This record gives sequence, structure tokens and C-alpha cells, in this order.
Amino acid sequence: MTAEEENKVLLFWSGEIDESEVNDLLAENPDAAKLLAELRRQANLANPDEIQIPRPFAAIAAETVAAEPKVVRFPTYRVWAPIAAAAAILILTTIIVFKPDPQVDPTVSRRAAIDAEIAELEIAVAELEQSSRFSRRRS
Amino acid sequence: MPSDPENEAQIVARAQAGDRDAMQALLQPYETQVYRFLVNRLGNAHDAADVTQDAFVKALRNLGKYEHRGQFRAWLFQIARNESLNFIQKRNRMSTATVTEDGENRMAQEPDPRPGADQQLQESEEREQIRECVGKLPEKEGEVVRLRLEQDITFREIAEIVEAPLNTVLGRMRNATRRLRDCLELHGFVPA
Repeated sequence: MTAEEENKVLLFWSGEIDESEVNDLLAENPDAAKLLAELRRQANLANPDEIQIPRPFAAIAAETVAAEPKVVRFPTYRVWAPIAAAAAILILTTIIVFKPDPQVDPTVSRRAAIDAEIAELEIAVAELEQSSRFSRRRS
Repeated sequence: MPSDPENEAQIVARAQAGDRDAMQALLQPYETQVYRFLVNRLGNAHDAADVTQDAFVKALRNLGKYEHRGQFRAWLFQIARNESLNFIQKRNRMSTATVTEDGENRMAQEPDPRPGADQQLQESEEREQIRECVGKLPEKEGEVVRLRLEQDITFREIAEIVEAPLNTVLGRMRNATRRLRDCLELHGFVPA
């Protein structure tokens, strides 16, 4: 008998599949019928005696839980979205408001001053060169 | 008693809303089954009573997490099983620290709660033998057998309780059935 066939017998025995699904198997395979008989035998032997519960578990549990204070769960998702939006606005505002102005940036203005000085010196050097060529020609 | 999924769903909804009667109605049908399951699992009526109570309270506190995917019974048994596992682990840790001076382990033992247990032992050796044989099964097979033979729980529910695929559960039952048959035969109990 295959494992699949044994499983069918088990599921039939537990009432989870209909008799029509195992009729052929039980009729044609003596091992299937033997397995079913063994399962019923073992269930009969293991059938538990009546047991008395020592306390009313359900009533005590219901009493215990019903008496507990209810925990009010605050929907935190309603808080995080506005906080995130406010944080984004704050960061953008900070960037826009405190962005350095190149016109008042001392680094920028010093560089510009040096560039201007260099430009003036270059002009002066060019003029000197020109005047020295002129004086060489005259002499 | 919840007789169908729709009725059960209504009782669960009322229990979730805090209706004490609904909470009790939800659990009451399973008191004996869960208690018996834990007596057999823990081997001790006193401990089984405490763990049953803890499991029931936990089930009610976590009712909001019950998703109606299977039967309520399977979900409840899953909680009871997990509580018993925690208890056994705790007990095993404590048992190494409760050895008396003469070296004996002093774990409390309660008498068998089943009425007429002595009488049954005398009257039905075969029944006792199968219990012994079940006790010798590998843990996972024994778990399936206990739920099926002693609690009459379906294989699909067992698969939910032990969190294993259905085919795995069926495989364990097939193996366990063979072992039980061999064990009974070994002690002279052959099928008629």
C-alpha cells in the first residue's frame, strides 16, 4: 500500500473524507482494511475515561480578563505622518533661509578681490611692456 | 456551544468586545479536552490545572489575534501546547535545583484524577499497555497520537496545532500506528 493510500485510510478514519473516496481501496486492498481495523482498535483502547475538571477554567478566565483595565491603543500612525511632514518642512526652510549668500560670503569676496588685483597687475604689466617697446623704438 | 463557524464568529466578536458571557461560552466546550490533553502531556493534574488556566486567560487576552482561518479549537490547543512547552522547559530548569540532600528529585506528584484508575488498571491491562506504548513513542509521533486518539481531533486541526504540513502529520501517524501495533504485540496483545 502506498503512503498516499494509507493517508486516505487515515483521513477516512478521522472523518475528514467521505466513504466514497476509500470504498474501492478498502474493497480491493486487504492491507487497507487491516489498517483501518488497527486504527479503530487502537482508538478504542486509548479511549480516555471521563475526567473531571478541578475548577471552572472558562468562568475564571472570563472573570479575570473582563476585570482587567482596557488598554486604549492610540493610533500612532496618525501622529507619525504629520511629524514627518513638519520635519521635512523645517529642514527645507532651514536650507532656504540659511543658504549662504555668495555676495556677503567673505571667502567669495576675498577671492574676487584677489582676482581683481591680479587683473590690475596684469594690465599694469602689459602697459609697462608696451611703454618699454615704445622707448626702445625711439632710442 | 459554537456549533458552526458563523455562530462561533459571532461569539468571538462579542468576546472581543468584552462580553464576559461570550468569553465563557467560547471556552467552556473545550475545558475538559484541554485539561485532559495537558494532564496526559504534563503527567501531573496540579500542573495541568495551572497551565490550563494560564492558557485560557492567554487565549482571551489575545483574542484580537485570532484570524478565523481555522477552527477556534485548533487555535486554543495551539496556545495550550505552547504554554505546556514553556512550563516543561521551566520545570526542567527548576528540577536540577530541587534535589534533596539524599539526592532524590522532589517534584510534586498529584494522584491520577481519573476516577477508578486503579480499577481500570486491574480490569484492562491492554488499555494500560497502549498508554505505555504511546509514552514510548518519539515525541512528535506521540503528540499526534495523543491529539488524535485521546482528543478525537482531526488531522487538519492537528496540523494547525503542531504547525506542520498535513502530510507530515499523517506520516507521523502512520509510523506511530506501526510502532503501537508492534509494541502491543511484543507484550502479548495481538489483534483479534
